[in-house]
Amino acid sequence: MESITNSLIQSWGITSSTGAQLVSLLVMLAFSAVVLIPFFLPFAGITSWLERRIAGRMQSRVGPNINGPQGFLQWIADGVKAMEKEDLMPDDADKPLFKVAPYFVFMGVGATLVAIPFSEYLVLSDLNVGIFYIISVTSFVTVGILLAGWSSNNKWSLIGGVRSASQMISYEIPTALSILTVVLLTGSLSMQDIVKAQGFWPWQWHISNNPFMIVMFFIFFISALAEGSRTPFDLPEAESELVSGYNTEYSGIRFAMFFLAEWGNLFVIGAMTTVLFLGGWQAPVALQGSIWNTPVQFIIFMTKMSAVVFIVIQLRWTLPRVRVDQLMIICWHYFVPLSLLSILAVTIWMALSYGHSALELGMSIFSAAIWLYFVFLVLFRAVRNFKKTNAKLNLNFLE
Amino acid sequence: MKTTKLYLGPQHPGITGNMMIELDVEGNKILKSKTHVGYLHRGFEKLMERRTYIQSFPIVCRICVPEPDVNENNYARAVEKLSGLEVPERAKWIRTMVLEMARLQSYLLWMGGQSGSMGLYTMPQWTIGDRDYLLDRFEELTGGRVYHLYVWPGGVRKDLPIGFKTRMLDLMDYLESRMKDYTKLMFENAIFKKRAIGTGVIPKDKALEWGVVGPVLRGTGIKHDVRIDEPYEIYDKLEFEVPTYEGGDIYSRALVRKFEFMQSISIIRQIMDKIPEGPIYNRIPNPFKWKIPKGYTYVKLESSRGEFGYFMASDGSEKLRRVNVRGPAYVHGISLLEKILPGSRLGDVSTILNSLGVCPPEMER
Amino acid sequence: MSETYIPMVLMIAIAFGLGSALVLLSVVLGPKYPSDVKDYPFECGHLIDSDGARKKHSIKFYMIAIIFLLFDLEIVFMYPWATVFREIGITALFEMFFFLGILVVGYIYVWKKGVLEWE
Repeated sequence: MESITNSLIQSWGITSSTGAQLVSLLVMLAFSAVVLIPFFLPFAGITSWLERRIAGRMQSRVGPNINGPQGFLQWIADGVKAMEKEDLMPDDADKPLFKVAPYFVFMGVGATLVAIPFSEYLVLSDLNVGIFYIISVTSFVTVGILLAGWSSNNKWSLIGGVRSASQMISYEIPTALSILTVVLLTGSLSMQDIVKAQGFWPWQWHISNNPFMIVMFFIFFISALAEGSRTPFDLPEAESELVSGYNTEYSGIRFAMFFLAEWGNLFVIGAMTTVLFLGGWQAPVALQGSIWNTPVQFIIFMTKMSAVVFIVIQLRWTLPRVRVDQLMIICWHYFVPLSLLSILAVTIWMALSYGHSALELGMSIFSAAIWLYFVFLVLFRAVRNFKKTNAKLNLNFLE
Repeated sequence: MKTTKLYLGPQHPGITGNMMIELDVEGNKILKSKTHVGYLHRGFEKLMERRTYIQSFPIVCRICVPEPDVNENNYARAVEKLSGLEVPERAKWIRTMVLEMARLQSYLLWMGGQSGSMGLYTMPQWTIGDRDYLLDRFEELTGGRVYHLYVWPGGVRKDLPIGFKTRMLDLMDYLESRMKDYTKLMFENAIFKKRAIGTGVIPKDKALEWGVVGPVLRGTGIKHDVRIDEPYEIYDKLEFEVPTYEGGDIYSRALVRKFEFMQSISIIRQIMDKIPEGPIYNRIPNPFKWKIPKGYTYVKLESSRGEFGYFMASDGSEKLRRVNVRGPAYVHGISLLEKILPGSRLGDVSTILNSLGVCPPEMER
Repeated sequence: MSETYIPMVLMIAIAFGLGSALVLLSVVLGPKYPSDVKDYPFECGHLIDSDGARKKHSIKFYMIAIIFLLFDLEIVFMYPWATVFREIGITALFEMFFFLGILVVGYIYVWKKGVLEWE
């Protein structure tokens, strides 16, 4: 960011301080707009298309495949369709709140993008309290959903909104506790510092610092699913229970905004998991200083994030949703004590291993081996089942 | 604490068909439930009094959408019993096969509904896709996919097509192999088990008093199956087991249905193996002038949701005097639901509804 | 210092602007055929005594909110500690043991009181 601004200032020959500030403001504006409009919107849209295609593959059907190559442009058609719908509002609804609720959700997701580092230099603003900032702006979404539920004057919306709020604030505690361990390991709240404390190789990531970080990773991942209202925690919009939850009364583009925010949330979940636990944009050290450094870092970041997003999508189509009391019990009876325990274990391990770099490295390689073994196991089973399924599909009994 | 009144239905994604459940909830807990019906009443029983015996067939098969064959079979058997018409041996075997095919497709539909009500949307896509293969067999046998009008007083309409046996056996192998996938995705899914075990419990000592039938009754541990207790068609010549599971909750009902699914596959294999040659149809007199002697009768059979009975009375004319359909959904949907819903949670309503096999069109005819 | 927060404000403004633009487009493109029935709240097709949703609905939300506030405050206190843990070392560890001990006692009390039971 700053280097781009400085080079611009030099090339344009601006010397006055107000001019320089103006240029930096312009650069920031352009960059924010680029991140939000041509990057984030298509990302959310393409994720929606991808999700439907993956779901189609998993459910032995096709999914959207008409608009564009392989249905790639389906999301544009969906967006245009949503715009051409009538924007309905119930008679007794609290009209200002009803209108403003989707903006809150949208802004909450948009604002998180400010602090997410895409590469060493591609970050809008490296806030020194980056993690804190993200935790707090995601609460915008909670506020928006609660407003939507309350203002609709509909019992289903109300129950959905209140459920959603209680779910999100409950799961904020395990999330915050698991992020705390990462902060412990890093000693900084800045997102860039957190990434810089890790390395390219899997045993340099935070997840493999010690075995308790794997536990924390799972707590963080599951809590993030719950905060993003993804299956198996999609209770706020549980179809068979609450019609459509908090967005029952919404239609047209406002409804689409909720959904855009949902898929944007998917991006935030993936990016946060990548940055905090999976090494972020860290590229091989050999690339340092080369012109390929930034693109490679960006690609590595996007690959890791897409892998996490793929897992989240896959979970959605393999698991039923939990019940609301089970959801709360998972959080308060299991995750909170477990994360408190893990924090203690991590601090004790840090105090013990302080200064013994060989011990730290050994433990890292050990725990990296543990989780890589599980990843391998899952991949192995997936490939085996995939081969089996293909053999079965050849059974030709339709003549 | 103030309670909230919720109206679940008539238009609700968690309810198949149109019915309404009025709920008083406190938070997530249901305090009182009341079923309201009347959204799908079509007056079938009255309509049948104005028609000749044959003309009623297109009506009876529409009593319950997922299993038309059960109604056709019941109606045909009632007419045969009243008129003293004999059915050839081969027709009886084919009828049994059709009944078991209907059971299979109904269970596939139920599996989809049960997991769909819990938010697992992959399962309905799979099972309804596989159900289509069964409907293909129905189509080549009867000419129709959903409503078949295949069973006829005095036999069945058409004989088995050429090569039907191999295709049917192939399909049975396929369904058996698919059951492994269903088991992994649904029956052994940790969240499914967690939600299903201990939910919607029907106590064993109350089950008979409440009039529970079918897989729901067998899920409470009571062995009752019309196919064994009072065998009809050729069930006494077949070998099969009737499962019972203790517990009375959603999960034990699911296990009963899973077991019966496999049993149905084995029954169809036995039928394909042993089916005798011979005529399939005893001619009936001119259907428009067919007079049936005065009398009344009650026939019943085991459908995929439980005991399904027809009471039928004739007054000696060419039209029915009175018919009364006694389906399992009426008991399960109205009196049983009102008894077991209070105390359970809001999120479980549609799950319980699905596991009881409540079918609103059948409740109201 | 304050410069790092400018993108944040810009981003929220752009998100708001984008949302407004979408809604504006929808106003231009979308049809408007108001009718009485469309304006009813959705009660699964039941219209007779829709008494509205503006009333109390118990989900123990109050309790959840209070516990959340307590825990979240504790966690906020823990973040500064986490950033300087490496510098202070073993003293910080014992201090945090003490702090967490109090928190855990409160947690156990809340659990025993049955606040964490959901039905």
